[in-house]
Amino acid sequence: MVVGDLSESTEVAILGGGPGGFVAAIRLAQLGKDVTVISKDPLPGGTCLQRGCIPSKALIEAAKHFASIPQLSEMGIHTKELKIDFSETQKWKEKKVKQLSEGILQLFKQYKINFIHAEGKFLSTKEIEIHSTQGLSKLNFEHAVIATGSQAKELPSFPFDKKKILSSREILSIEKIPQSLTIIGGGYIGLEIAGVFGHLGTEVHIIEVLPDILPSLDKELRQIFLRQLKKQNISLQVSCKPLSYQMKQEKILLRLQLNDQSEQDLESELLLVAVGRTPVTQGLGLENIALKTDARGFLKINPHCQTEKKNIYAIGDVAGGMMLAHKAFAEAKIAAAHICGQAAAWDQQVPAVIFTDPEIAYVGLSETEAKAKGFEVITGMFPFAALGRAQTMDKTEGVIKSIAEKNTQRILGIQMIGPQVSDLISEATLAIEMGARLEDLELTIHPHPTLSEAVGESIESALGIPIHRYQRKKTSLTS
Amino acid sequence: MEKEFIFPDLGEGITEGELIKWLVSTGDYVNEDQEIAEIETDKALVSIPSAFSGKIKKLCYEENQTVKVGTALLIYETDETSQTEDTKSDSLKETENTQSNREKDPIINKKKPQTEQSIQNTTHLLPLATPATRKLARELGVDLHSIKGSGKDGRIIDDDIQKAANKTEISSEELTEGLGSKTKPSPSEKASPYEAIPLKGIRRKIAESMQASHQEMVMVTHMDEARVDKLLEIRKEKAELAKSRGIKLTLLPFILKACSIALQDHPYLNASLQEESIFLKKYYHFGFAVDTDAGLMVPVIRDVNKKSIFKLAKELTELSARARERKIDLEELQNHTFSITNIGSLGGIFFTPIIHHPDSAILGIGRTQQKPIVDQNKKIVPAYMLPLALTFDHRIADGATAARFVNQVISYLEDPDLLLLEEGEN
Ligand SMILES: Cc1cc2nc3c(=O)[nH]c(=O)nc-3n(C[C@H](O)[C@H](O)[C@H](O)COP(=O)(O)OP(=O)(O)OC[C@H]3O[C@@H](n4cnc5c(N)ncnc54)[C@H](O)[C@@H]3O)c2cc1C
Repeated sequence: MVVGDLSESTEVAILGGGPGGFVAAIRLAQLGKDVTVISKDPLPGGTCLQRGCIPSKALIEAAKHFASIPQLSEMGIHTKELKIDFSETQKWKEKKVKQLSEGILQLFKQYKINFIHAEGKFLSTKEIEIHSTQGLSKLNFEHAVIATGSQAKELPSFPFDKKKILSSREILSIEKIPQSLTIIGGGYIGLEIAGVFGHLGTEVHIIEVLPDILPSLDKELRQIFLRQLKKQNISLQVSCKPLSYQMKQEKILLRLQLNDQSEQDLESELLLVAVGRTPVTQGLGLENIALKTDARGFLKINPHCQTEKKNIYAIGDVAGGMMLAHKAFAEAKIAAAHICGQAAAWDQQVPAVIFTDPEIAYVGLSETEAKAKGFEVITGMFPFAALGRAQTMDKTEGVIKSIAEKNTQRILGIQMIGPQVSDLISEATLAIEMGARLEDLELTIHPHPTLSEAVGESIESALGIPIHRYQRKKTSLTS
Repeated sequence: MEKEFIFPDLGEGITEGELIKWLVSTGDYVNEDQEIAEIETDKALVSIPSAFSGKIKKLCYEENQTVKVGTALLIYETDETSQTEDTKSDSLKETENTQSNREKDPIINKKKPQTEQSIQNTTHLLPLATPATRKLARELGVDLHSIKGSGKDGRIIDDDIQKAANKTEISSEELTEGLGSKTKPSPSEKASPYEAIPLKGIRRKIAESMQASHQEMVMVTHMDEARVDKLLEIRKEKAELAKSRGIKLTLLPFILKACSIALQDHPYLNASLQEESIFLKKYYHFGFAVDTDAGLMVPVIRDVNKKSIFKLAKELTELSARARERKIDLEELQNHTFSITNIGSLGGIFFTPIIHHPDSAILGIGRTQQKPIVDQNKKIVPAYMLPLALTFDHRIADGATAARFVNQVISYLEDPDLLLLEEGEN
């Protein structure tokens, strides 16, 4: 399609080429639709690929390797000089991002999806105005999908200056490892970035306003995580409010208010503000199609991902919920199928994954949540330290906890902290989607020696019969 | 305190029933075991006894509504009312709390089905079904929260969805909204030019069973007549005797008997075809069609070959009476090997009965009437003729078998003494 003055038309117009947008585009094309993707970013992939999931995971991986080298000496591996050239690390990361973006472009070509680098704005429920470097044009559509994602939330007293006060976007591209870093916000983005720089030797401070972090995690797992943070030289201040800042030579001086109302200063080289993300809806022309956002700025959708305007769908971060790429993927597929007349609707569990060290992953209900909902539960817990594979990897921190309904033994949730639990969580997700009982997983053979054995053992622990751990008979089972 | 009385699982895969009549009303004090409602299930009309004593606070259904197993049928009230209010408002607060927590997470919020409110039982928060089954439910417009699965702990399987989909009347609009409308006109509209009767209860059972026979079988009907003057005489002769024993003697027990003997010589007509095998049955359980207010019911008389004519006559009367009163047990409708349907009392000569699934044959009986026939002496004489129409499954048996079988039955009916001689198992 050519961008010009002429009004062009497409069956489905997609605003945004991130996880929501590009997945919807591919699925729609597979289902036979003529699709046009309008993307403010020059390449597809959105936040996730350009400045989120992928770049952060690349840096996390590099930092983890770097930090693990001294620990290898116990295995007899010694290095004379440990050095990291962070600008090279960044180049390597950029290369990966580029490869993946081009991969999506290639898929667009193969599926004959039109990709326009431009900003889109609704003129009506049938027409989008396209602003690109080549000017203005119009695009008629039958259906539209809003997948404009989110951006880092700015704190009025700490506006981003992109030099000293950064968002996740900038910090993932810095060329030099800072000596010290303060992070406002103990959410998953803050924690992951803390992990990166903690491993690279930066002195890291996390400031959290709330009295606790990781609210969806059960206490036992949270405590393990907090212990690990300490070991990695990452300090965490909860119930702590950042009040103001002051530039002091090359440093930034932060004024904090502690729980007891006392005030304290904290000096560091860089400040990362990671206090959540706001949906991107400005300039979208929502007023022209009479679509309103909710109080927090998200678009409201029904289980088919439809907005109040039936031919306009919204998916991904802009539609709220868990702001994760795989949630966007899932919604993209639902919207695409529904546009094509299929009876698709949201009814899934979203697993949450946090790439700290050790990793955290959970799906379904925590024990606390399950009890609050009135379930009578049984739980099981298994430590990685008791696992052969974890020992040979020298990654023994962490546990897996299984939560099941007592009467039916149906698995309600599984929570994990430990090595590579980001990969282990899928078994738990499948179990919950299938409505599995504890026995279903207990009777599933887990290969040895692998980390996945911890899933099986935590299930057996809920049944009172783990193999690699002594467990006194549970009275709850015999009653 | 409040107490819910949950419509109990009646077994036999029954998942719902139609509330025919309340036997109690709000405010009544009910004793344990007192009958509270009449409910018609697929199989029979059952009276539901109360599981406990108490004053009735609320009836949860109206008459003629469909009641699902596992849902509250009515709510009782026990004495400590004042305390109730407190605990209630507290638990309400709690739900409000979780509600607003949910709002923080619009995804969880939005996937909450509208019906969840009615299902406060926490164990049913997430429907117990695999993703593929859930998808099937969406496709067929079945609300997972509205059905009880047949699996352990109420697990919903594809079959349950299919069944529910067949039963769903007009509830799928919501899910199919925007998918090209399948709009059925609303039957509740006033002055509607038609009346929509939901297919359920016995009617639905009949529909399913007829459909199954019609789809599976290759049915052919063979027709003939028996001259029953002699038989009528015997009946007349023995009518008094029968009456003294409290038995109303009709032709039917004789026909049953005749068939049970002839079937022993024609086992393929007392058979069924299942999973690539023909099962020849060595027992003779006959279903016989009874016209009830609710529709056709087919109670079964067991071991016809082993019972006397009087005994058969007696059972016929009893079973049909109970069928009409809807007091019949499920087992009394099962395990037939052959069936007889008699429309003679209403008129009609020949017709083409549909086999009672999964049997291989059914005998239809028309009205016995006097007809001019040509006798052995080539004279036209009046004779009582009984029309017989045997439908058989041509997959299992052939026309010759059917003809031979009917001939044999005719021979017994025309010469009832033979019945005596041949009586018993061979
Ligand atoms: C540092 C970081 C790490 C993360 N790590 C993970 C992780 O490990 N796992 C995970 O699941 N999620 C992770 N996420 C979250 C994930 O990136 C988002 O959930 C995901 O990108 C949302 O996808 P989306 O399609 O809704 O929006 P986005 O990815 O934000 O894409 C929206 C796209 O729309 C474009 N756009 C906006 N307005 C317009 C317009 N008017 N016209 C045209 N185009 C427009 C934007 O430029 C952008 O390209 C991370 C996020 C961050 C910031």
